Amino acid sequence: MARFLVTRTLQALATIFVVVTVAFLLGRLSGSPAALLLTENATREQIDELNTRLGFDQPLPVQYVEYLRGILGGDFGDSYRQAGVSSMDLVLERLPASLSLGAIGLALGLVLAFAATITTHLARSRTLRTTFLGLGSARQAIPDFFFGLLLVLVFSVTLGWLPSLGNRDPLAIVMPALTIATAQFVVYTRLLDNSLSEQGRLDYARTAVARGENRFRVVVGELLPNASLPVLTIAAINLGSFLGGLVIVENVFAWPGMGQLMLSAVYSRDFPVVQSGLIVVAALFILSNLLVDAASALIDPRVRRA
Amino acid sequence: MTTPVLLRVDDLSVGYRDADGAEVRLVDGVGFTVHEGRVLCLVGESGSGKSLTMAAVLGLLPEGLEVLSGTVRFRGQDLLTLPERELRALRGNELAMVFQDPMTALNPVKRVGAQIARAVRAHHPRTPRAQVLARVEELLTEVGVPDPAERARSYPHQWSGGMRQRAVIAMAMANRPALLIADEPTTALDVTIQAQIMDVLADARATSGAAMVLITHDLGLVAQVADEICIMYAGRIVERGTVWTVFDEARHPYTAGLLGSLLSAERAGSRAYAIPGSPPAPTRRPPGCAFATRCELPARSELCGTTRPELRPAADVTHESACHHADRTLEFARAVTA
Repeated sequence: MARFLVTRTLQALATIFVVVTVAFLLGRLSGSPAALLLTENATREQIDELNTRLGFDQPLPVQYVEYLRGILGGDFGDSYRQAGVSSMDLVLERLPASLSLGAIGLALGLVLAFAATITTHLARSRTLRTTFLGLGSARQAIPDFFFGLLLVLVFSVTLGWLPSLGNRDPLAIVMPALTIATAQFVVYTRLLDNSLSEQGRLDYARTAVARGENRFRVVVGELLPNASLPVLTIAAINLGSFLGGLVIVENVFAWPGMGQLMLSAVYSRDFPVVQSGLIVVAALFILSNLLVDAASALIDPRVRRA
Repeated sequence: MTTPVLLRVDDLSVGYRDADGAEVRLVDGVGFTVHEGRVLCLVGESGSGKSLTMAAVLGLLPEGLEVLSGTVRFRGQDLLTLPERELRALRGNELAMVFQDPMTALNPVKRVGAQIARAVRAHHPRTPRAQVLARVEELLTEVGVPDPAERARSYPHQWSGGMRQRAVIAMAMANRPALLIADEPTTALDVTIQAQIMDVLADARATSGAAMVLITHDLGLVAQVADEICIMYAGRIVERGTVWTVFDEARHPYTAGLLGSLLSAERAGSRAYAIPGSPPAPTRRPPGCAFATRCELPARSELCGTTRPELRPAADVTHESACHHADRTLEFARAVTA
């Protein structure tokens, strides 16, 4: 167990290091921020002054080492746009909004997928399966931003039931969360459906039927724990693209989360904010994967031993 | 044979309909009787339909297969027309099953004890926890699992194959079934463990008085435990009788061939008989006797290729054979087993 924790911590640190490096390089590749931070007719002196202040007059390796040294000391660099404000503080301030939307959206998607699949298998209904998968695929075929706009058009503009922007109104989370959940739905429904069908053909399922278990017990009590293992694994792998999708959804609904912050930071070449945001996203990704591993171990005793 | 009939299967056919709607029969018109407390062996090679027959009896047919005809009467009740709820009340209770592969027959993510406990709970949902635990321990002790309280808390992957099969038997015996169906319970196990498992089954039957249908292709096993025997070939029963009449006077060339393929100490030095060829696919069974192309009976005739032989009394009413030349098999049987 101790060895496991040490290995995982080292892996996590290595991942974050790679993310930091890539974020740093990509930011520098996109040109000098001076051109964007200052007006078009800024003087040579003004530009030089800015470059000196932000350290852009140093060679790239020196800038990189300086940046890493700062991170080790807990200094992730101040925002270029809001002088004196730590970029990490800006990101962390937005974190709760993103977390609540992401978690609720993902949880809702999983709940819907599990409910749909279990219903299909309890009823052994091909019609239900086709219906769920068909609706899910149709939804997935629509890009998130377009689906989000459709929701706004129907529920905010036409019906006036739900607020279209921000997160001040408690009901405001409904549409962004639905956008996320319905996008995830078909992925997990298909996975779990396959997985349940596969498990249902295994010998232990027959053993359960032969000892007199009812259909609900067989599907939920026996097959589901085994069937959810591959779903969990894929969910962990899928998390990266899920976080990417979150950025889009936050922007469509003006949800004041990290995604929105990062997108505007990219537009305004506010590198420290982009870098800090990426570090937090990477940390979230690693943490979620750890949680999934822990959940797998909780379900499957064979994983626990390995 | 005055013991009451427990299970009576008549004209049971199992199969599927192909794209044209034509029936493909994997089990074709099978019938037999199991008397209370006795042992019937279904013998045949892989694909002969013996496992499907018993799966149909318990309503455990794999998806895509259905019962095409027949009745299955358990204590006079037709299991095939019984509503699912009532059938479920019998499964694992009066009718229990032991499967072939103990490595896969248990749920890998649940403790062995909990799985056996489910067998009790499925039929007695309100049993107090302590009582269920005690029963699980008792069952594990009966099937010879050492340190049952401790082992009940471990997971299947921590058990050996032989031990797992004991657990599966414990699960099957949980509600003292009247009929135990054992589908090749020793095939997947080491030879040294096989005898132990048969002993466990015998003990379990002795305590409960359960009748047993043993599905096997191991004639040595049959000789030890069977009262009656049904030889299956290509989805049909080809010979049926008490074990010793069939063993001593095989009335079907296929049975004779199976017996001839056995190796035994008395026949040391002589070569075992090998039945030539392989059984026909269910979609391409010949119009006559399904065994005709492999039959080496000197008395075989043109009739064998054109007309399907029905099961009918050969020597006496209790010994039946589906061979046109059942009266002329003894010579052949003696020759191949010599």
